[in-house]
Amino acid sequence: MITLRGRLTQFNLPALERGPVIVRLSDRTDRPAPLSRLEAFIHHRGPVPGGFGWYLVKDAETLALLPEGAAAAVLSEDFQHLADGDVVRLEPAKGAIRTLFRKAVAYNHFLLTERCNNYCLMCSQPPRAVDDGWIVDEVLEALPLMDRAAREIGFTGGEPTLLGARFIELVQAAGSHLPNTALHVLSNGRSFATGSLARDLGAVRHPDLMLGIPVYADLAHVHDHVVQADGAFDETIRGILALKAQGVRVEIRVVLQEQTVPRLVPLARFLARNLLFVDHVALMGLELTGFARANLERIWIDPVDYQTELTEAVGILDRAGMKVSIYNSQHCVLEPSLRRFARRSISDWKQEYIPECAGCDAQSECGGFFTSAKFRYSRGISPIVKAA
Amino acid sequence: MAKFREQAQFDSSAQSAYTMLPWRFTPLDEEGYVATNMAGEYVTMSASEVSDFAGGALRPDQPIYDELKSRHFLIDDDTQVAIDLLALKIRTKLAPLANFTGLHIFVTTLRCEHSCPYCQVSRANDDKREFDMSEETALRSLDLAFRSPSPAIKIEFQGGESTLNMPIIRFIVAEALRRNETARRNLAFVIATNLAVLDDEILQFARQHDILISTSLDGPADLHNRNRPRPGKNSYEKAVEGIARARTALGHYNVGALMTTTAASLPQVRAIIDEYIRMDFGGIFLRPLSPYGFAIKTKSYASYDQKKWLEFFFEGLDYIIELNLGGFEFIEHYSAMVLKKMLTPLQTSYVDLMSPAGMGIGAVVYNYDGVVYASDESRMLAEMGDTTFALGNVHDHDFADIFLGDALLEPLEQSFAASVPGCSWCAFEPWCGAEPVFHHATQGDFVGKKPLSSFCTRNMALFRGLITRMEANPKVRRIFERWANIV
Amino acid sequence: MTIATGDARTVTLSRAALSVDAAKRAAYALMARYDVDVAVIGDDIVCRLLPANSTVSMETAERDFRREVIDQDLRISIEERTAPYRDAILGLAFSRTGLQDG
Repeated sequence: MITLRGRLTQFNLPALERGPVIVRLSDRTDRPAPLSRLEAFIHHRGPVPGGFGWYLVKDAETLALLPEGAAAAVLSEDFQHLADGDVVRLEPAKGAIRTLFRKAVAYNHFLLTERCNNYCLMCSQPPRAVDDGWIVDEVLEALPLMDRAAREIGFTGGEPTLLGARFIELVQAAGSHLPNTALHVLSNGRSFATGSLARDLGAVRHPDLMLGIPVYADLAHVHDHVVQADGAFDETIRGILALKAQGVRVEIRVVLQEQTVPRLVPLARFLARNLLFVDHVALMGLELTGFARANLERIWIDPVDYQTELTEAVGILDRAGMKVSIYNSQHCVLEPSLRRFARRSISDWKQEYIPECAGCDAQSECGGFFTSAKFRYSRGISPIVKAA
Repeated sequence: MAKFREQAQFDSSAQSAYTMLPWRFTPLDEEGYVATNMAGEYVTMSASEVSDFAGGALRPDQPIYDELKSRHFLIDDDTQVAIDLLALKIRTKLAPLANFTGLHIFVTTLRCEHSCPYCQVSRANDDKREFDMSEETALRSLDLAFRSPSPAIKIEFQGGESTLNMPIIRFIVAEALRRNETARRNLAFVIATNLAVLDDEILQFARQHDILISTSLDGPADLHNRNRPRPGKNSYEKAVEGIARARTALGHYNVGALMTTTAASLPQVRAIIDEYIRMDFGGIFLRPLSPYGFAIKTKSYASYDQKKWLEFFFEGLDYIIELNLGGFEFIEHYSAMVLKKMLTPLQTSYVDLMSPAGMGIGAVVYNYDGVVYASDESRMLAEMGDTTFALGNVHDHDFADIFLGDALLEPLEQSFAASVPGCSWCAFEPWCGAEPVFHHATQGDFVGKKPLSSFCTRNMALFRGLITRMEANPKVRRIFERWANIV
Repeated sequence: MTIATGDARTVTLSRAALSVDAAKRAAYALMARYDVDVAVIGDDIVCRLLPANSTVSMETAERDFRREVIDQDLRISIEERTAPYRDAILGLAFSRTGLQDG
C-alpha cells in the first residue's frame, strides 16, 4: 500500500517563509521559465536545473546542489513515488505534504465533502458534519494543474451534491480544464429529485460525465434501511429520472451484502423494467473500511453464498440488453460464467493479493483484494489452475 | 459511535394500510389468476390473494405483498415513486404512436403465376397491364408515404407476385431515394416474392439498394407445393433455390421467410419447424390461420379450427423450447413479440396486436389501382366485395381525407380495447390488440363480442400458455427473456 | 334448434351485496355458453340463464354465473377505488412538461 499523507523530515529555511501552496511536479531540465517558476522540481538523479519555484529532493545531501535561496524539502521514504506530472499541496509550516493528483494512476478521485444525507451501513467513508468548504477551493485550484491526458477522474464524498451550485462549478471546471478526461461522480442522487440541479448539471454539457448512484433493493424500506434514511429510495429514483431526462449518464451501483442479496433478483427485474435506460449497472463486493468494518457481522455474506442470486441477476440484466459489470470480486469465488463481467476495479493504492493466491493463473485478470479485505476473506479463495 | 436503525423501523406497512394502484385480474387456470398493472406487468395470484388484496386485507408478511409493491400494484406510506414510474412506463409504451405509419405496402401488380387457394387477390399472369400499378399511382402513393411523420419508413412491395412488375419497383425505389435526400428518413425496402421468377438482374438491383427479401416457405416440399400450386408444381423447389441464390447475393440475414398456416399445416408443425431449421433460419413465425376468404364465407372458422390451431401452435412452441433447452438457439417469433410486450417496457410493431389498432397507424396499403387500404386484410375483404376499410384513392384524396377521415378514425376509436366491454376489464388487455377488420368480417361490427371472437380466444390461450410455461420452469423463463429482447 | 324450457336456470342475487352492472358484465362474459336475461325486481337481481347453443350443458350454469358475478363485482369495486390513481398516472404520462419540475 502506498501512503498519501506523511510528515516530511525537512523543509529548508526559504521554504518555511512561504505559505501553503498547490504545485505541479516536474522532473524536466528544459522547462520554460514562466512555467518552472510555478512548479516544483522533483529530483531523481543528475543535475539540478535552476528557475523552479520549489525543489523536492530525496536526501539532505542533494540540498547542496540547489540554486541559492531555493525553497526545498527533503522527501521521506513514503514519498519517493512522487513523479513528473503529479500535483501536491505543500504546507511548510506544518511540515506536511499531501498528494492531490498522480499522473501515473489511471483513476484519481477527489473527496469533495465529508457531509452526507445518507448514513449507509457499509459506508467506507463515514460522514462527518463538518464545514469543509475549503476542499472545493483546493480542487478548483488543482484542476488546471492536472495532466490533460488523464483518462478518468472521480468526485466522491460524503454526498458531493450537497455542495449545490459549487458542485456544478466543479463539474464545469473539470470539463473545461480536462476536456478529454471522463468524470465519474458518486452520489446518492437525492438532490436531483426536485429543483433545478439536474437541469443545471445537464446544461454544463460535460463531455464525458457519468453519475454512479446506488440502488440497493426494489423495495423502499430495504433500500432506506441500508442507507439509514427515510424516503431515500423515492428521492433517489426521482433523481435518476430527472438526470436521465436531462441526458446525464447514470450508472446504478449495488453493493453485495447481507441486506441486498435476498432481493437481488427482484432488484434486477425492477431495473430491467423501470430503469432500462440507465447506462450501466455495477454489482460490487464489499470494501471493509469505515462503517463496513464496524458493522461487519451485520453486513457480511460470503461471496460463495450468493453466486446463485448473482448469476440470475446478471442474467436478467444482460438479457435485457443492459451493460453490467461486477466490481471488487475475485475470480476464484465467482461463478465461471460470470467472470467475463468482472472488472479490475480496485485502485492500485488499495489493491493486494494474499498468500493463497500463489500459483493462480488468473492473477492478471483478477482484481485482487482491498487491503481492508484482511478483516474477512471468503472461504472460497483458492488459485485457479488452468488445465495444462 | 453511530446508532444504526433496524430494517423494521423503515417499514411502515405493518402500521398503515396500503393503497391499491389500478390493476386487473383474469383467470389463469383452474387454480389461479393473472393480475396486471397499467404498464402490463404481471403477477400470478391465488383466488384468496386476489380477494384479500382487493378487500384491503392483504398482510405485509405475506410474500405476495412485497411482490405487488415491487411491481407497482400498490403503494404505502414508505413509497409513492410507483406513480412516476408507471407514468413513465406507459409513456414509453405509447410513444411510438406519435411516429404514425411506418410500414407502407405497395401492391405493384395482381398478376401471379401461382394459384394458392388461400390467396384472395391474385389474377392470372396473362401479361395484361390492367392489374399493374402505374407510375402516376406510384408517385401519388409516395406523396402520402412521405407525409407520414415516422422517422423510419419501410416500403414493402407485394402483389400478386410483386416482381412481375419490376419496372415499377425500380421506379419507386429510385423516386423514394431521391425524395429521401431531403426527407432524411431511415428508409428501408422489402420485396415480398415467391422467388419463382427470380433472376440475377433482380438480385443485382436488390443488392445495390440494400433491399431485403421476404418469401413464403410453408413447410416441407409436399405441404408447400400443396398449399401453393403453380405450373410445374415446383413452388417449393423454386423457393429453396431462390432462398439460396438470394442469400448469396444479398447476405444470409437479409432473406426472410414466412409460413402461411392452412388446414393441411395443422398436423405437421414439427416437420414445418424442421424444414426451417434445415434451411438455416434462426427462427419461425407460427402464424395464425387466416380467417379470410373461404372461412368467412362459410362462418365455419370459429371454434374447431381455432382449437386445432392452438394445438398446432403449442406443440410447435414446446418443440422449439425443447430445442433451446438442449442448447440450440431457435426463436418462435409470434411468442417473441408477445413476450416483448409482457416482459419489457418496450412496444412492438406487430400490426395485428396493437391497440389502438394497427390499421392505418402501423401500416397502410397502396393498391395497384390507387385505392388506399388500412391493412392487407382490408384489401382482401375488398376483393370479396366489402370495401369498408378502403380509406380513399391516391388520385382523388389527400393525406387528411385518407388518414383523418371517418373510414379510418371510426374503427380505430370504436375498437380501442381499453374502452370496450370484455377488454376494458381484462388483465391481458395491455398485451392484446384491437382488430376491427377481423371483427367486422366475422361479426359485423368493429368491436365484436369478445367471448365469441376467435381472435380473443386465441390470444388469451397464448398469454396463458406463455405464462404457465414461464412460471413452471425458470429455464424457460430465461429463454423467453432472451426472445423478448431481440430487436 | 330446440331448447327445452327445463334447461332454464334462475339465479337470484341481492342488490345489497352485488351490483346490477356486475350481473350485466357477467352475462356478457359468459355469452359463448349462456344467454342471460338480467332483470331488477325490488331488491333482487333476477337472472334467467338459457344455453347459448345446443352443445352447452347447463349443469354448472348457476355456479359459473355466480362466480362470474362475484369476480365482476370485485372488478368494478377495484376500478372505482383506483380511478383517481389511474387518472393521475395517465395525466402524468401525457403531460408535456415531463415528470420532474424544472
